[in-house]
Amino acid sequence: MAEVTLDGVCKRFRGREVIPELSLTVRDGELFILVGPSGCGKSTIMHLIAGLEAPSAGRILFDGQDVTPLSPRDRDVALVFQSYALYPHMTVADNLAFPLRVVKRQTGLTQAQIVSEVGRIAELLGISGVLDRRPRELSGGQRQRVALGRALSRQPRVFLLDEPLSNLDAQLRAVMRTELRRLHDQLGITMIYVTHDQTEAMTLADRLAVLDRGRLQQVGKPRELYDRPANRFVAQFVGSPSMNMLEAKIKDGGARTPLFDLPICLPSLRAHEGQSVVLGIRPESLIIGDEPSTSELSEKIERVGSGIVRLVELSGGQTWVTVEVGRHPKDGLLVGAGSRALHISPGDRVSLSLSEAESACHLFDPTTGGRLGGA
Amino acid sequence: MIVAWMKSTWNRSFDVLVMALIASICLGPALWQLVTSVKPDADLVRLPPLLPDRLTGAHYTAVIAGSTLWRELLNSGLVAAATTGAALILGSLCAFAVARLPIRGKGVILGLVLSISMFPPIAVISPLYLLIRELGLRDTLSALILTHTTFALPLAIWILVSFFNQVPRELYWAARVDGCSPLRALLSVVIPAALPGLAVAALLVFIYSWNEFMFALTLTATPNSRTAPVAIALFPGLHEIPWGDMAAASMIVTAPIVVLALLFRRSIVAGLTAGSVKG
Repeated sequence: MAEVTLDGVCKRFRGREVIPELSLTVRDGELFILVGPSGCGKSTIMHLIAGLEAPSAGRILFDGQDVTPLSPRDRDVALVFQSYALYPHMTVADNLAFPLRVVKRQTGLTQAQIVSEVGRIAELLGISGVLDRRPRELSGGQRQRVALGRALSRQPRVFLLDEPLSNLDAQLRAVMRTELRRLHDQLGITMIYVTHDQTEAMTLADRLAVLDRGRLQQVGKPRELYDRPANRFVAQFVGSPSMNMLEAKIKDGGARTPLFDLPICLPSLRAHEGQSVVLGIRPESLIIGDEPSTSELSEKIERVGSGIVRLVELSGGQTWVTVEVGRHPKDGLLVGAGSRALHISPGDRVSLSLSEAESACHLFDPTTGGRLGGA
Repeated sequence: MIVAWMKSTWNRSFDVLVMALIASICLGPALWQLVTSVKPDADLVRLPPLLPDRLTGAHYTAVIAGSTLWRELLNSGLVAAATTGAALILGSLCAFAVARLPIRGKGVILGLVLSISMFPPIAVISPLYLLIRELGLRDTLSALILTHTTFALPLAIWILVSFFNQVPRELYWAARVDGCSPLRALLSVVIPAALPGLAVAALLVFIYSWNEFMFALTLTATPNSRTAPVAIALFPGLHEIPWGDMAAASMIVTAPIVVLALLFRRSIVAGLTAGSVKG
């Protein structure tokens, strides 16, 4: 177990900067998730921490000890690959025992100790029944467990997981996610986990870091990132469906956008009087209602405009409605939430309302994309 | 329907025809050799008959009992086996370095390796002869092993590089993270995963060394180190060419290679890596 610190780490491949400059601390015993779209340098960061690649500049520290010059074998980390990378010519038992056998000379483990350790790990992961099989005879979930087991068998200081669940089907992924969480809590080990799936990141992480093109966008607890995204990228990356973004101008304490009939008036907008801003509204805060009915509107729900339904997507308890708004056709598409009772179909005219406008609206700078004020 | 049927039959028979043609071109000489090896001497220089009406094993008995072919076959086997071993060990190390280790100028290294095989053997044979003589290795098996290894290495390296590259990078990384040095990762993980490639390389190097003629002819002098192909070439006497004996000897020399190829064909099944990476 260890605290992992990246200190001004930079990585260039053939003159191209994959990671411009990254400083980050992962606390001891934390389940930390690196999340970002494909090609944002997540896997490279994993390889840097594992020692498979050397940084072009900067240092990597485990518990304050500089491990930058150390080779992977001296860092005592474990890495689970997206492809599992099980050794095809070895049985499951041999796969699990391999990390122990490699270091046998240093640790002085006996054959019997290795066998019992393999048994313990297999028990922990529920793969005791397949110990004498080869990887190719296993199902996807079993392979995944073997990969986890091989990483755990040596009890590493840092546990790295590179998209470990991406090759599993949705149902199995949910199961393994819970299991990973349980393993982490049981072992209290420092885990760094990479994924492109923001849902996975939000549900699993103690803290997470959002990356875009090698740059750190925001680090924090899932709730913090959701409630107070630091910039447009984080705002749109976190949460599903993605946050609606509208160009707006603040005038007389109200945000006016050509897409809405009425300005959105909030006390906090006064600070940005006269500015052009980007207004972010999460789909769950944008309530879709039948056009004529206003009965539902309570004090907390404020009608802001209307539009025409283009798409209705049912997702369990929630209905996501894509609405075309604006005075001219094709002005803009917004996604809002409809109640279960709502019966609408594409082409219908609907009203748009904001629920709890104070917390629903996020303001961003149109040029830098950074978050504006406390709104 | 009928047109389609006729068309498919026509395509079918065309395929069979072409395959038969190719097979007869490839196998024809070998078959002719086989026929020659069992023809009585009297029929050897006559045509017709195309096929002999009487078979004889006389040529085989003559070769087995009346020549030193066994000694030469043993030499061939030793040279080819040692060459294969040396080429695979050196070739694996080089190919692994090129395929996986962070070194500069991999393309240049592979190019240089390839350029070795571009030297026509005839161009290097006289300096090589002088070199071997100065080293005191003339007429020894070591001379042949050294020479054959040199010329077989580019082939081995190129084959192994492509097979090592097919072994998923993650497997090597996993081994490194699990505590292996690069060499240990090569031995414990990469080579077992690339075994079919090693089998292919071994087979081709073995065949090259077994069949190699010019170096073997130049660098050897006596049956102590002479290899089988050279021995067959030295069969002709002053006044006659013993076609039947030579054909019989050729069949004997070819047999081990055919057996090897058939054996290895079974082990050269890709798919050994199946299951290690997303399936």
